[in-house]
Amino acid sequence: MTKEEVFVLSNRLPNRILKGALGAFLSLAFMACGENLTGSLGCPELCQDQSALLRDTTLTGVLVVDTVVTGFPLQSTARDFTLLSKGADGDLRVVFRFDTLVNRFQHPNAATDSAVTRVTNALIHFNIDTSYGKLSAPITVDAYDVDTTTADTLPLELVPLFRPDRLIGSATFASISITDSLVIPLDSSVVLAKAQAGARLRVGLRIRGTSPDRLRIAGSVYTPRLTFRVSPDTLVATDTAFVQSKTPANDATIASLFAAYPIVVSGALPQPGGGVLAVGGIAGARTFLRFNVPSILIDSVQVVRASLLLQQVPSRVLASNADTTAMVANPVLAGAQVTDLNLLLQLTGTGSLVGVDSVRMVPKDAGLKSVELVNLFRVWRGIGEANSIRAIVLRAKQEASSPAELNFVSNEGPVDQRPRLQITYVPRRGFGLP
Amino acid sequence: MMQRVLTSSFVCLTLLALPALVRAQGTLSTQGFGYPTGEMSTRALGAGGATADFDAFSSTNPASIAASLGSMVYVQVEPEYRHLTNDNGGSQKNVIARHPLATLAVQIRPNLFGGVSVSNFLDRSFETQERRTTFIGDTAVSTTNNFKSDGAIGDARAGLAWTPTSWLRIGVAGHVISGSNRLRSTEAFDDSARFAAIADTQTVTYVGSALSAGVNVFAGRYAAFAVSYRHGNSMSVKHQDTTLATANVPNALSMSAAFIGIKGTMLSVRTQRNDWTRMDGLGSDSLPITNSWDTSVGADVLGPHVGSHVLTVRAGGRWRDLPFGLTNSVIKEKTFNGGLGTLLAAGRLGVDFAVIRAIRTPVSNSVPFRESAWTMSFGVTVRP
Repeated sequence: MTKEEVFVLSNRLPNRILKGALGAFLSLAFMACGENLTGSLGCPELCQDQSALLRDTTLTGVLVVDTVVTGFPLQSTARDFTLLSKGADGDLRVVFRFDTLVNRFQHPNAATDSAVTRVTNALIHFNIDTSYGKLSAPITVDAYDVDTTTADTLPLELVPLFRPDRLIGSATFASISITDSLVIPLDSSVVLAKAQAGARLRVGLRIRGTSPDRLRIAGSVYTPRLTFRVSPDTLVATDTAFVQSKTPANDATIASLFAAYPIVVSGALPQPGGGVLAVGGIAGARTFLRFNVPSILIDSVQVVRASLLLQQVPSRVLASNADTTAMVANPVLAGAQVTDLNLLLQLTGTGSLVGVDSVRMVPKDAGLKSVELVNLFRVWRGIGEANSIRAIVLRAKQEASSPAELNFVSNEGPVDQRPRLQITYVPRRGFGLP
Repeated sequence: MMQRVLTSSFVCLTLLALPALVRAQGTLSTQGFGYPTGEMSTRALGAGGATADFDAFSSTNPASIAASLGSMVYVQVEPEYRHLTNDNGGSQKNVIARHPLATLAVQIRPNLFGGVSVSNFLDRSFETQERRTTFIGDTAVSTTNNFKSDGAIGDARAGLAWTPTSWLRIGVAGHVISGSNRLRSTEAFDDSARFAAIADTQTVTYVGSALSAGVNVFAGRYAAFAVSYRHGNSMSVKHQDTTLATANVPNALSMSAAFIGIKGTMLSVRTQRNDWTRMDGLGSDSLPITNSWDTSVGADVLGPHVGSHVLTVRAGGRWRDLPFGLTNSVIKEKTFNGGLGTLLAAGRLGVDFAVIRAIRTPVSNSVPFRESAWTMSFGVTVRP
């Protein structure tokens, strides 16, 4: 009965007493709905045990595809970059492109603008991720002019440009004084020359220190930028140039991807040989796993636990092999019609969004490791195999930022060490009758 | 116009009465298929239930529909405040909402009355929470289990009562015994990183029928007697369209005797035999079911005047075994009842109130639980 109908009913009653009594009763009736039902004192003696009967099974040979692909993250998918100096074990640098520098400015009190004839206080600003690890010693960030007319995205062409005669700025930071915002002073005359010539300024950053260290540039949080002054008059504002690339000139989308990008100088390993899966490392290795899970386990029963059991073997990389490394399992979101492996590796969701936690491991360790996929199984049940193949991608939480690489026995390894799924489930059941 | 209003009111209030009526397992009173409220009105409950077979609002005896002496609609609300104690320490309180009875009576002819009522036959609504340990392979895992049942078995009765003479009422009725339990069981593992919670839901429905007949006999100015018998037909429990089990609706035979020699006063004694074991097979084999006697004595006395209104004062007591006990013990219930009632609006509005103190104890001393409850029953009657 709607509120309006109650009012109509009320208006038709013969007198005020009846209306009042009915109203009071209805109020009482609704008040009587308030309950406190839950009890635990009487259990277990007075309670029925409704515990489910659990069944446990281990599925071997459940992997139909396991393969390793390197080169992640892809150019377009990351805006956070790592600076690393571990020599041959890992050397990561970053290039910032400032392809648009102003060569004229206007004084607030002037009717016309003026040409830039002086530059002072040229500074590069960027943020770093301080949660990435504390520095153990002072660290120096060097800035080089890496502009070139050759193929300037290739490490082969760029790395030789990190040389003393191209050094245009440098700053050293004490480990205790470092904050999340870093400023590197540049040679103002270089900036002036570039501005006056209408040339582009492309700055390569590398780090060095007394001990191997690294910095994580948080470009996704704070866009790197160049600031400089073109006049001593404080009425003239400081100029700011954000990272911006104008090449390739015929494709603005690709050009935007190269506004800031990393260079892998050393430490990137090829895919491991047969019998070994790899995750992480300088090469950014990912492992693609596709399962053939009996449909009954996904569609017809409640899965309580789904553990992917992987036999970890000591990492083939010795550098950083004692560093704890977080591995995540991302679900593949593609349907069965997508078969291209490279595409599948890109069509992934985030593990945390489907309730799959990361697993922390030490690369030098060995033994059986477990990746809990139960929440992913429940997602699979909800969306069906036609919309999402039963596949995951194992990747390091922060890719291409450390030599640390995790290795596991693949489906080609010894039978008793191959990946397998341990499933605990509840069969369909009737319950609840006394 | 008034007939339409009454019909609308009845439908509205019946809808209010149909959902979850009473709660709790993990208590003594709501084992098995639930707690039998007795299908009695506030007026009858005030007198311990002893006057139910003469009471037009209660749905125990179809002959008493004629006691409505006209058309009327009646609804009842009944919150219960329950207290469970463990002899070994600890106690727990619950508040339970009930809307256990709604009745509509219509005078068809001067000596023929029709009545429809919806009452709560067995309430099975509860929620329990407990810690358990379960084994997965060789690993012991601690869990928090929550089990909730929401719903009840109801009794929808349609009856006719005939008064061929002033000292005799005869009634027959058909009953549809139906309802549902919405069940939800969850099991959450302490180690939630590895084990996802188990959550099951299920709705079971009950379908059954019964026929009942009864008489009220007034022997002169001093005594009245009532007898009624309900014959239960088959009853089944279903999940969707699958029949899970079949048994029978319990038979019930009730007998009452009352002294009415004092004007405005009824002193009554009533007993009812319930064959609950006819429900055997509807649940598990291990479900303990007991046939029981439900006996009560009480008085309904025209009392003092308050202003222009006359109060009716009621008191009584009731003793019965609850049908669903524990595997090692029957549960007994003893209640002490009292109530008041009056008429307002020139007799067109009746208001009744009863308070019930219930003590529920297991027969076996080995069960360390005791239960007590205060129940407030409110009933409102509207006459055209």
